[in-house]
Parts: sequence; structure tokens; C-alpha cells
Amino acid sequence: MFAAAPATLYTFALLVVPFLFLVWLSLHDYDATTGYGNIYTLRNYLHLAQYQSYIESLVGTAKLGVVVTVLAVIVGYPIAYYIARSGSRFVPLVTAVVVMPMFVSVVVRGFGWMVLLGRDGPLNQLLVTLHVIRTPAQFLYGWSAIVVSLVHVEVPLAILPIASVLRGIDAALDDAARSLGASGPRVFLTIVFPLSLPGVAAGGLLVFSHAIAAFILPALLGSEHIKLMSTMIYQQIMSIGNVPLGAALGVVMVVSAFGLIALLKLVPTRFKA
Amino acid sequence: MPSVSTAGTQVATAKVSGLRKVSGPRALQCLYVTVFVGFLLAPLIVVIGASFDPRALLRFPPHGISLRWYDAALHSPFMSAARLSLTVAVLATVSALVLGVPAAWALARFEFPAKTFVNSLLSAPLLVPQLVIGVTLLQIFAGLHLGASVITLALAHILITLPYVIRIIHASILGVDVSIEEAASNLGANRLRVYLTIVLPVIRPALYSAALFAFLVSFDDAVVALFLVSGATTTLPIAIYTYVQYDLDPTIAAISSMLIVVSVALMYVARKLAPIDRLT
Repeated sequence: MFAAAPATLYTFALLVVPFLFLVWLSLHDYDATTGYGNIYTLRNYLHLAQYQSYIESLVGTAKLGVVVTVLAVIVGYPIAYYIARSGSRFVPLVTAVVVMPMFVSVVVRGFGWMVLLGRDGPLNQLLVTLHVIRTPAQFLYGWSAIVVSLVHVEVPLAILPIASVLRGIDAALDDAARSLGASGPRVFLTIVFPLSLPGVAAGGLLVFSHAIAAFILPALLGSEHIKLMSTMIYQQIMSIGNVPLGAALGVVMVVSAFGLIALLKLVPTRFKA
Repeated sequence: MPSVSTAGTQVATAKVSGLRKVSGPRALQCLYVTVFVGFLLAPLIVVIGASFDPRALLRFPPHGISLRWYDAALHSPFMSAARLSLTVAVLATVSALVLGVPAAWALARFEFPAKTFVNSLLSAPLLVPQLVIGVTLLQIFAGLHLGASVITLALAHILITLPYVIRIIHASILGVDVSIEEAASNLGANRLRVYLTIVLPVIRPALYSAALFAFLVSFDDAVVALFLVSGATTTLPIAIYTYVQYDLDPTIAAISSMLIVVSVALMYVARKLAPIDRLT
């Protein structure tokens, strides 16, 4: 059908072709004047496995991804449950609060966290007033600020798939279990929660694949001591100009993201079987 | 809705089983939801609050109400960045609709070779990390000797807005009875005519919704654009990003507040026009 051809060609030309070009670049040596030389080599990929700072960035990125994913799912699950099954009249309002800020620029939200967590910010003021701490503490420019802001941005991506799976669970199952004498928590733990796992898997992998690629929030709220793949890519390409090494990092990031998405396609069918 | 009665029963059972999160007492549920809503809104409220503080300090809660930072923002260099963002977003939105709407129609209504592949390719820009999209486009544009301009930014934004347009329009076309289109073609209308006189008018609310989403995605993008801007051509989110790395002041709060209001308002209208359950 010709109607899909222009969009397909466009995506192919601006996504697939540039990516193949990136793979090609990543197989070159570094040249200080032109960015990349003429020699084909796998050295960039070996670099990533050999040098301390690159290993640190890969490990740091994976850790950040796991922590943000686990927190987003734990924080988001009860909200998804509330949206899908509480029947409360506030559900439309809470759903709106979850969905609306999704398209507020991440720069603006990062700025919000900078104000909120700053030395003279409201959080420090509150903690000093309540005598929790004596002098304002530095919350910014560290792992905790990155994690909190990333959970804030990613939690809707966990909530929406979990809520949609929870909504699909037949309430008659609850009634049946309860009429057979199961307590509320038992109904949840033995029936509702296991049935909601495909949603947890989908939401979790979505959050993970976004968190490992996050750049703006780590750049704004982190420090130079925190090494991540995304900040490394930016540094290599934009500041140092080592295009082949930056390209190799980019290829590793895409391969990990797509590996996860392949996993995501696998998981729900497993649960159904 | 059976879930309403279920909620009632759950509360009743909870009295026996004590304080448990699962079916938990309504008070605990209320508290958790309130705290969560507070967490989600806090950074936005702080920005909006700080933008009204009359002092030249970025503080929340504000000491008094003043619009001086809005006045400063409207006369700052950020406005030229905002104009550029607007131009790029309009170009990207229009092009993404022109490319995406027919594609969504084809995916919804027709069988063609490699349809599964086309479908995955068209949603791939959502799956490839935006940072990498930015890097790859920078390399390609540099290879073609194309410097940073409105055009290169728009080309990049068409790519990232296209999947949203296709998803929204695809879902909307699937919700429309195919028999109108069949009747038209049985009466001799060719596909172009069916598309222009039947499909487009029928899905009009979804077209507006798709346009708003595409506009928002482009206007708020700060990752892809990061690699494609230069000193002279910079978008509003990038201008803010660059600025807050060195300085935090109430002018930024005023600009950010305006961005928040615009984003939330457009999102509200877009959701009213077409229900969207899957954005990612």
C-alpha cells in the first residue's frame, strides 16, 4: 500500500541509515583533526571493556536503571491499583495528574527539582524548621537527586501499563476467592498480584529502557563524579570529539535498549502460557 | 462497574485484617494518593510559585506576588529561542501529519507486503534512545555538510513526532466503521477520494489531537535538539537547559511556568479530543 510508503521511507532514511552510519563510525580509529580516521578497528568496543571509567559508566548506568525501575514500580503500583480498581470519584483527577505532566519538558522538571532540593530550597527550609537537620544539606549534584527526579519523570510509564492490566482482571475472581473465605490481602497476593505481573514487567522494562538513556536530569542534577553512558556519549561527541568512541557507546546503548524490548515482547506470552 | 462494589467489600474486609496496603483502610489509601500527587506536582508548583516572588532570588514559597519576572522573560533573549521552537514545532507537526495520517490509514485498513516490518519500523523512533537519535542525526547532517538550522531541527522532530501521529490516528481509524469507506469505493470512489472525502472528515477530532501531541513533543524536546542546535539557532528547552547549568534566577522560573501552562493546557485539550491510553 503506497499510503504508508512516504512515512516508512522517511523513518528508514533518518533512523536506520544514520544508525548504520553510527555503527560504521564506531568501527574506525580516532583522528584528532577529522574526528575519525581510515583504519577499521574494534578498539573502541575493547576500550569500553578495558578502561576503568568506561566500565564505571556501564555499571553506573545499569545500577541507575535498576534502582529507578524498582522504585518506580513500587511507588507506582499502589497508584495503578487505585486508578484501576478503587472506583473512587477522584480517579479521573489522579489519572490527569499522572498523565498531564508527561509532556512538560524534562528541562523544566529538572529545573523544578533544582529549586526544590537547593540549599535555600523549600525542602531544606522545611527540614530545618522541623529540626530534622540543623543546617541546610546538599541534596543536589548526587545520585539521590538523579534517582528522585528520574523516578518522578518515569513513574507514569510504570503506572499506565500496570493500571491497564489491573483493569482487565475480572472482579468476579476476587468475589469468588472472597466467598471461599480468602481475606483481602490473600486475594491480592494469590490472585490479583500474580495476574498483574505482565503489566509490572511491561512497565518496568519501559522505565528501565528510558532510565538508562536519560541525559538531561543526570546532567543537571548530577556531578562530574557520576559517570553514566549518556553523559559519556555527550562528552565524547560534543566536547572531546572522539566520534568513534562516542558512536560505540551509542551502539551499546541501542543494543541494550532493543535487547530489553525483545525481552518485553517475550514476557507477557510466558505469563499467559 | 463491578469494581465500585468490590472497593466497598475490600474496605469491609480490611477492618478484620488490620492495616494492610492491599485492601487497606480508605484513610491510608487517601494519604498515599495525596502524598504521591504532591510528589508529582511539587517541582512544577515550586517553579510556578518562585516565578511570582518579587525579590531577585529564586525562593519558594514566594514573598508576595509580582509579575516583574514575566515582564523580564518576555523581553529576554529567550523569546527568540521560543520563536524558533514555535517555527520548528509547526513545521514538524504539519509534515508529520502529512506523512503519518496516510500511513496510519494504510496500517489500519489494508494488507500489504512487510506490513509487520513497516509497523515496527514506524514505532522504532520511540524505542531508540533520543540521545542516540540526536547523535546519529548530528553525524549524518555533518557528513552532508548541513549546519544547524530550522530545517535540520524540523527534520529531526518529524522523525520523533511521527510515531505519536501514527498511533493516535491508527487507533481512531480502527474505531470507525469501515462500511462507509467500503460503500464509497463500491460506488466508484478511488482510494485518494475515499481518503480525502471520507477518512479525513470522519477522524477530524483525532487529527487535532495528533497535531497537538506532535506539537508538544517537538516544542518540549530537549534531547534530540541538544545535538542539533548552535549558538544562533537554539530552541527554548535548550536555552533553558544551558542557562540553568550556570545560573538559577526567577526569569527562568517565569519562562518555565509559561511552558508548564502551555504544555498542560495542550495536553488537556488533546486528551479531550481523543482518548489516549498508550503514549509510549
